[in-house]
Amino acid sequence: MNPFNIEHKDIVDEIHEFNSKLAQGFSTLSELGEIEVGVSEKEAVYHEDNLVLYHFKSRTEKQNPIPLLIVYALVNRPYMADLQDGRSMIQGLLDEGVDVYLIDWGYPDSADKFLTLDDYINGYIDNCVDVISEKHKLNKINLLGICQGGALSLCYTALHQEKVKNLITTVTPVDFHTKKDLLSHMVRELDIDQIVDASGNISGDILNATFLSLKPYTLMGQKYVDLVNILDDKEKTMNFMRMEKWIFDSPDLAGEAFREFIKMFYQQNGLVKGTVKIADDIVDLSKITVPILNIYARDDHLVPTDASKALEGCVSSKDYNSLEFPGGHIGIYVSGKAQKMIPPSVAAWLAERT
Amino acid sequence: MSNKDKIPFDGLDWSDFQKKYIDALNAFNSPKPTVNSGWVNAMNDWWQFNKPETPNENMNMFENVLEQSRNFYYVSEQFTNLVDGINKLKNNNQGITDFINSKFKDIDPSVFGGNNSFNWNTLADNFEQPIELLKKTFTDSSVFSNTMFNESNPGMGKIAEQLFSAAGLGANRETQDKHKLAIKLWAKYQDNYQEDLAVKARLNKDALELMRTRILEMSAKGEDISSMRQVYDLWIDSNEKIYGEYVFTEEYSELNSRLVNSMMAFKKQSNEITEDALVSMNMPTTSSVNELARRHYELRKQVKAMQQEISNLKKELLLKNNKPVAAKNDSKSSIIKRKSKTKTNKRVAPKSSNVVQIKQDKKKLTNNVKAIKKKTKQKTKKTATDKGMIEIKF
Repeated sequence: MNPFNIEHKDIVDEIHEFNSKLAQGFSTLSELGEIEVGVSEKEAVYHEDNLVLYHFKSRTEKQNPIPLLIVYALVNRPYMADLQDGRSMIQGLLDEGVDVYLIDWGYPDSADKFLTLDDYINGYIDNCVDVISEKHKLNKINLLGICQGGALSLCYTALHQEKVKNLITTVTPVDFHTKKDLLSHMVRELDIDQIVDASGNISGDILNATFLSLKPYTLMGQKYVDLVNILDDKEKTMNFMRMEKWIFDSPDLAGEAFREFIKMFYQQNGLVKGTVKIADDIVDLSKITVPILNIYARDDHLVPTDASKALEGCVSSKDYNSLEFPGGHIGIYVSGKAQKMIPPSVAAWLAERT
Repeated sequence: MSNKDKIPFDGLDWSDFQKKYIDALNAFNSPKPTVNSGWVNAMNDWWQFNKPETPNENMNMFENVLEQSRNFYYVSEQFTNLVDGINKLKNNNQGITDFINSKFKDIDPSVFGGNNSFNWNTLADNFEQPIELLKKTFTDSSVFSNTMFNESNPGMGKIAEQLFSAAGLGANRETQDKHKLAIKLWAKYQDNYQEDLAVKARLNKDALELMRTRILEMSAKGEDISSMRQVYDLWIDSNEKIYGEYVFTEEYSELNSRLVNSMMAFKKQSNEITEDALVSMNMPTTSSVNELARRHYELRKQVKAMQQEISNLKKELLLKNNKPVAAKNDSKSSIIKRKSKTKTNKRVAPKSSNVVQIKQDKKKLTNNVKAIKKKTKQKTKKTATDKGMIEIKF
């Protein structure tokens, strides 16, 4: 049987229609102007080097008295959690009465080349926690880690448990040697010392391209052909462009922190093996007893679910909960489905433990 | 929109122009035009004409869209011939299968960059970005920039062999050795790069074979493809599947590591040569800048540690300043109590005890600072008051 139910004329028409959309799209893109991201009103409450700690303005009369500090990854930019109106995890949390703070790591420069994980965890994160704790006159606050920020939050909690009330990890890798972890597979045999010694800070563009190369045909090809179909819709195009801006807005990574993270986490799988060493302290996840909510994405191509689910077996928390989101690594923050599921779940979980 | 803001080719409906062109050909009973009669070229011409007049921050994005649209056109063109051929066979199932097999064989040579108008590697090349970026990283800053080392050189091995065989001589022997090592490392990287390209070409071929199999399966199941977009998606899916399976193999992990490691080894060596050249010109080198950055980093940590100590001392002093009030209250009550017991030494004893207390407090304070120092190891900590909006920026 002929598998092609298509005539020559149909092809010409289809190409013509595609061309029309492309031409129209050109006008749409020309008229878009600046792509604005980050919708929720916020105030910078603490600066240190390139870091800025933001406090978001509340959107409800009543709030959870224990603030939540969001620790973002060192790669890409944190406005992904507050991308646009109606597609913002932070906005959702604010609407649920959560008092939200966010660490923006900024853009590390050559002066930051020697920053280590100790500086990030025992320095920057700890300082931010102290600022918030003292401001609210609390001994403990809530932490929410995003991706690599989740791994940093786990280290922080293991080392400073007395300052953490509840811990939420989202799409956080814990076991870096699971079968489906392609990123880990790619970097397992790399000579990281040589890369850092030769490059200094690690270019954000290279990191970004590496992430895209995990699904190259889809993420660098098909996506743009799909875009043609929505180019006649300015709003949808703007949504696409916001994501595009975020994807290619990639800060460089401090060389030493990169060296430590890849070697100890990806190559040695130290988080589950208990061999990660921050300054002089071993990160022992089994010491963690605080309540944990572990959220992972079912279709995550960057952090496989198994890599996140491994957390349950590593910590000693009796109050351990997990939540599977039916979507991908980024969709968990920006999709419409996520807005209905993630912020209310987080807020409710926190409220029960306040 | 003002005239100034209007895009310069606002009135040009390029797609309509194309349609009219084909309609005109049809009207003259010319041979039936096909989509591979220059869609890509027409689009390129249109873009080249309009691009210089288009200052817009989103134009890089549009170029991405155009690049991928070209691939869509390429796939469409290639399969238009296939579809036309099959349509002529009506429902001759065996004939259809044979025709698909035959046409896919025609496509195969292009996987290896043959002379066909469509080169399947066009898309694959775009996916070499990590490697391209890494290459860029060192070629831009390397002393080998704009030399034969920038491009894949088939005679590289031979050149390298000749250079390696020559012994370093004279005062520049050390420099010669460094250059020889760099060339050796470059040749090694080139070998790995060529191997990587060959593997990618093989994957493209495998993806095409998977696509053929899938089309035949669809044919057998009675499923159909009703648009070129479906064909394109099938092509993307097939490539993604083959690529996705390969990158999980040990072979890929080993090859990828070999490729990146050899590139970085060359980069490191070229950095060293660049440094020598800069030193000879009394210019700043990467090492010297790194050393400054390291000292700066250490100083920054020391400053933060000192700020923390000052902050802690301030706290202690605040407590201390508040203490006399408390002590006064305490002494009042103690005086009241003492009054009932004895009237002598009522002022001396408390005073001397206060001195002792101050001494003890000082000692305690020193110990506290020591303890904090030991505990935090230069860790930066500030009080909320200090942390409020202090900016420590270098």
